[in-house]
Amino acid sequence: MKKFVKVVETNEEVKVNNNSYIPDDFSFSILSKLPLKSLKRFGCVSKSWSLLFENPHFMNMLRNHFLSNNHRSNYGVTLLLLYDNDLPVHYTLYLLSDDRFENRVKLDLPPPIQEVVSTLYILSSTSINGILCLGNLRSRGMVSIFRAVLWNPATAEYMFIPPSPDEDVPPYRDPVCLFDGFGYDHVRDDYKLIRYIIFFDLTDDDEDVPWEDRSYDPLLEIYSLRNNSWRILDIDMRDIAHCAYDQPQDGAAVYMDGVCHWWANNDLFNLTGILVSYDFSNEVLFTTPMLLDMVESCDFIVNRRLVVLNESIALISNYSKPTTFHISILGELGVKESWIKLFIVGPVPSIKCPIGFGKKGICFKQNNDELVWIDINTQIIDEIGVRAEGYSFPMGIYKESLLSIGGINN
Amino acid sequence: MASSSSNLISLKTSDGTVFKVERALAKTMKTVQAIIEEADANIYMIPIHNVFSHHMDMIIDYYKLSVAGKSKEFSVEKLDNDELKDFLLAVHYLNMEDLFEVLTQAVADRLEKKSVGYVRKYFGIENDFTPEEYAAIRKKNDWAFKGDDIEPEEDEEKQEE
Repeated sequence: MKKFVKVVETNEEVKVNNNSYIPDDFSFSILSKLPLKSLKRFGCVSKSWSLLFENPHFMNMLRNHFLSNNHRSNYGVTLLLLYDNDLPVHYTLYLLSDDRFENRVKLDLPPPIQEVVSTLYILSSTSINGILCLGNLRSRGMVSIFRAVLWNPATAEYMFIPPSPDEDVPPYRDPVCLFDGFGYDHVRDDYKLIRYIIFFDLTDDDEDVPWEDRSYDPLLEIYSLRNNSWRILDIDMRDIAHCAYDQPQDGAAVYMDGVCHWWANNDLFNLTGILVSYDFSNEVLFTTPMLLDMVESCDFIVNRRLVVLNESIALISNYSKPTTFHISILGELGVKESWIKLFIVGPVPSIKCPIGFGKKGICFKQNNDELVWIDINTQIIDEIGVRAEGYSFPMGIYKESLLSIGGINN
Repeated sequence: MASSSSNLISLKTSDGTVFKVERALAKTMKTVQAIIEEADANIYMIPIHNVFSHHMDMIIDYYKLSVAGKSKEFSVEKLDNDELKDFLLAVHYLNMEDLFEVLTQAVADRLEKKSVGYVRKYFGIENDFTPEEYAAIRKKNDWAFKGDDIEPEEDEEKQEE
């Protein structure tokens, strides 16, 4: 049995015999690279392992590793959509290859969109195989008209999507889209849009309308590029009704691996909520509730926002007094017990709200409307160099590809 | 005979094999580097306990690949889990940062779907839970045990339908 003391800082001892003794540092180096689900399972190995998530040294290693994957070079380039109040009001789209505004590259929007004087946003906040889906909301009287265009910036090819079924409604029904998303169906090699529409009655007195026409059931519409047509999804929507959603134009949808996700608040105080997910390939809508344990009794929650962090769904909860942001990662879709709080950013009194995700992680808007990146681990604030007045708009990810839109829609 | 002006360092593994390696490779082994720096001008041979010749072969393979910018091509697929653990322990002893990161990730990938029982054996850890404590923590994290690709626990296999 040999015994050898290493000549290094840690002064660890490694005995080589039949049962290799494994020091904590060593096992932490392995454990910190495991997915959250495995870590929770291995918490049943021993008492000390059940306390891993309370071990600051281990949590540092876990957080570092979790974030290190975000810097892969094939992650994509940050997209910034800016709204300019100067007349004529317009939108400008920028690519920030190194996440700084001074090195921005302007992308020319498709010509019919360039003079748009209404709300513009990027569905799902990301390109899918090089294609962006831009959503446009225009007011026609009291009603909001939605138009979407599929666009490949690399080839400048664009295609308007035909109007959705909810437009063909009598004037007394006012359709409102609570959430929408753009996604890819890998089974059918098809690009799709989903919209969740509810209806409000527009006029106070619609006695002329027959009773049988007064239906205000919400509906889910799906657009398929292959078929170039919309259809209504016939599925149970009870779980997603009676919830409050962030507006689509605020970049509420996050997309990952063929599934689109939205956060829905269940109550007035933003305390509880559910994650709503739609799988474009299976055409399945499902929800993941949030554990009530996640509710911090003392602070008042301002808002919650979803981002994608290291190929996981993450929920950023914005607390005030003091302004802090708690970031919880979802270990497994559909499993409410698998929400695991991993990061706390703050107190950061100068920060107003998170904007979205970019290559560097999470972008925040300061109280003075300046946009910054915050390194979640070091909490270092890095200015992007641009102000974004007005409401929070979508920041996206773009990965170039020369895919032809027309090639899919025969 | 190795002198301090030579580019080669002699390393003697546990099983008695002598490897003559480039100084640059020896520099990636912080343990060895510390010994070289502490020693006087001439150092004949550095014994590296806990490291076997088959470990050194792989270390040299990795070094050659990373010098050529092809470290991603390094693979430990042919090693079984225990061989991989021993290799990792050797690299840990030698204190080689980059290779250590590669190997810990490889071990993590192998252990990802394994059962609690397997992991206990692998790390040589005793179960210090009482049956009641284990039942409670098991139940609390039940979701983490579910999934087609997750290795079932030995004592629970019989209960599987």
